[in-house]
Amino acid sequence: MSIKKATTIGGLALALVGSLALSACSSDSDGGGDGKVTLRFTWWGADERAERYQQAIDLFEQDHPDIKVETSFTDFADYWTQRNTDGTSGDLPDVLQMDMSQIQEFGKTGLLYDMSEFEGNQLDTSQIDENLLASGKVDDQLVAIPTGTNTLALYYNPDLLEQLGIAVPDWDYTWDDLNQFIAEVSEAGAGQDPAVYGNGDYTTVWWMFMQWLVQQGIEPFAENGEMNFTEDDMREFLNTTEDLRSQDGMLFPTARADQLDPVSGFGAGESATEFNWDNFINSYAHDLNNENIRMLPVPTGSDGQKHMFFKPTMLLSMGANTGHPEEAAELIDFLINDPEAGQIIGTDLGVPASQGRLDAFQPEEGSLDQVVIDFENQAREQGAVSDPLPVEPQGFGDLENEYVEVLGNEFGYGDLSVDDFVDQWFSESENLLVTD
Amino acid sequence: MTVTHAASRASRAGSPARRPLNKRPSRRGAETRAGYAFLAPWLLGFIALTAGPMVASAYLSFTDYHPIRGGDWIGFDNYTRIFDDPRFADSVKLTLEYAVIGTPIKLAAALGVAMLLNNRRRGQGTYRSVFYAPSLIGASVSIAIVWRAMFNDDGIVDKTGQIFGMDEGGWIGNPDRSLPMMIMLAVWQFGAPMVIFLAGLKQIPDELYEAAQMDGAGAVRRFLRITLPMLSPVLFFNLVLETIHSFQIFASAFIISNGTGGPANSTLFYTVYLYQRGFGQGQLGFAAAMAWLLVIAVALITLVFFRTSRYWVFYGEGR
Repeated sequence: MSIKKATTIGGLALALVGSLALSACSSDSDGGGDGKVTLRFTWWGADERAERYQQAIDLFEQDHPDIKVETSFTDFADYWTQRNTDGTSGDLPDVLQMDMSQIQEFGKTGLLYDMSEFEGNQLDTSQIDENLLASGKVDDQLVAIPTGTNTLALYYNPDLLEQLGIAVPDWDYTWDDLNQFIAEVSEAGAGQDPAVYGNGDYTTVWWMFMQWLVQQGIEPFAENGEMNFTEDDMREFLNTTEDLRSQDGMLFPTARADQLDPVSGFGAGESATEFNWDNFINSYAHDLNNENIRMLPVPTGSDGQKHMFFKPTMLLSMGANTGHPEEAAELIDFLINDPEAGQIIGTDLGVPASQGRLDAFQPEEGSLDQVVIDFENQAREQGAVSDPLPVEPQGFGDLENEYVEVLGNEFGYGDLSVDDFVDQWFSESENLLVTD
Repeated sequence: MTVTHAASRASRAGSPARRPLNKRPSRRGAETRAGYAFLAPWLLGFIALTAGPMVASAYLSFTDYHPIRGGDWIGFDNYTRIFDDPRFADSVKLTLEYAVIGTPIKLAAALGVAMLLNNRRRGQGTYRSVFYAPSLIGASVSIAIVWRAMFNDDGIVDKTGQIFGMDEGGWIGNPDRSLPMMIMLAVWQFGAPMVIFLAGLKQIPDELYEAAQMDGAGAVRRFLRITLPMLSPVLFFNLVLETIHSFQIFASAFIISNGTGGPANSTLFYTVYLYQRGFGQGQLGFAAAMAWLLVIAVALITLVFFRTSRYWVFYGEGR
């Protein structure tokens, strides 16, 4: 016996409860009696992104006086909780930001609108690289449009390093170099108030694990969702920072991170470096109140290569339940292609996917956008970016959450050994990963 | 119209002799129907908002239902999985600690303040309102946010501690401090049980105290021999209510930990974990099973309270 979303028993309760509420819901999405169409648009991100989106949407509304856009945003984890709930009740927003880790989840279950019908009409996808555009396809349906690309970077704070008298690592630094660098910074920064650290325990960053696996020549997941790495692989990766963990005061403390949340150690100026996607620079500059931020690629693997990959970011999707697909497509087109909107959004959603926009984009000399574009260009030219994006099967987002939020936090407090971490992650993965 | 007239005439006619006996049941039937008609709004609400979802939740607890993927019947798998889950055990332990330590402290605080307020003095009404205020606003999200700011590093609590030479940083992010902090937040909201205690204290006849005082009973003795026994029904009521309440702790822990149950699972109370499983990870079947275990546990605990109450709750003469 099988239940499909919102059909039988789950839906029964919802139907009972919802029958009263539904009439209210359907009427308000038409924006009252003034003939305006109201679109709901939601994304994840911090205040900084909200300001950019809002400016762009103001422009859109000026150009489209008959469309009103209602916006909302939240942080990444809560965002998916809310979208799960929306999905269950068939009430996804008209336009929503989508992530590669969730695209299978929402795409395969028919919750997203197939936008192919708008291609070449309301929606111009001709400016997007074919392979990049393909990342928004699930079962041959175009359910998401990538707005940009990003890649993993080691952010560093040049002012802080100069103050501590420690040199920035070379472009070709290795994992061992990195650990040595972290130890040096943490030793030098121990006397500061608050103390300054070299980096946090980067082994609890899920995507660093993915990157490390790719460097080992392991494609983390197969297309059918099967896992290609073993418990030993995860154990080995977690043990790369074991020396730093075993000494006091070497890694940015998880307790401090919890206190600073939602600002990170790097954003607070208490960590000299941090791994993250390269489009986080605006958010970091906002938190640090300092635009002097630079980036390095990930550490070099044992074969002398970095094996980095570009990842489509912040894709835009439409809820299959939308009552205004054409207007929603227009909004997506505007957000992706419009040059003016592009000037506002900059690289906050990644380096623009639309070639037309990228060509028209004129970042100010020395601006953060310029830093991101230069970094990606350099990474491409130096051959650091050489690998395809790892497959993100259905359940990938939950696996990441388990790794980072659930086990990573306990691990950071030293309440979990490496072996327990690995055991628990693998036993939980059986419930989270969907294999064909 | 005619029906109404006929009905009203019939009811005015009144005399039992004129109404044949065999008509009685039908009149009762009409009354019953009217009763149900009046009950209908509540009943519909109960079925749609409480009973229906509970039945659905019971069913879901035997499936691996996911909000997006749907689910299949998996029998008791969720329940067996729960008992193998180390985090489940942690959350149960934490919630029990919270209830066992927090409830008595909260009740003691409520009773203590109620006894102070029971003396006649000027401005008593104001005091009562002031002490009750935290209960009104305490469960709100904003208080948890304020609480988070107060206990953060260099927050007011940390700063005050520093004056007295205790610089131990923020309580947020310190797993050892989380439970005491959550208990303090709960104890601070002692207003509701306090008001109930106060009402109970007013019921105790002054003669009892006067007689005892004349016989030379001291304050402690009067408290133990008169106040506590006379107050025991109220105490029982508060104990049951507050215990159930503490098992349901959610909002404050959720806000203070930003929904993570951190640091290091130290605010991962039962309902927070349930929420994470159900809505964070989409394992609604698992979460439904957890919810039912909580219902059963709370029911059992309440049952134990009621069963043992006969040994210590005093309902006046005769038991």
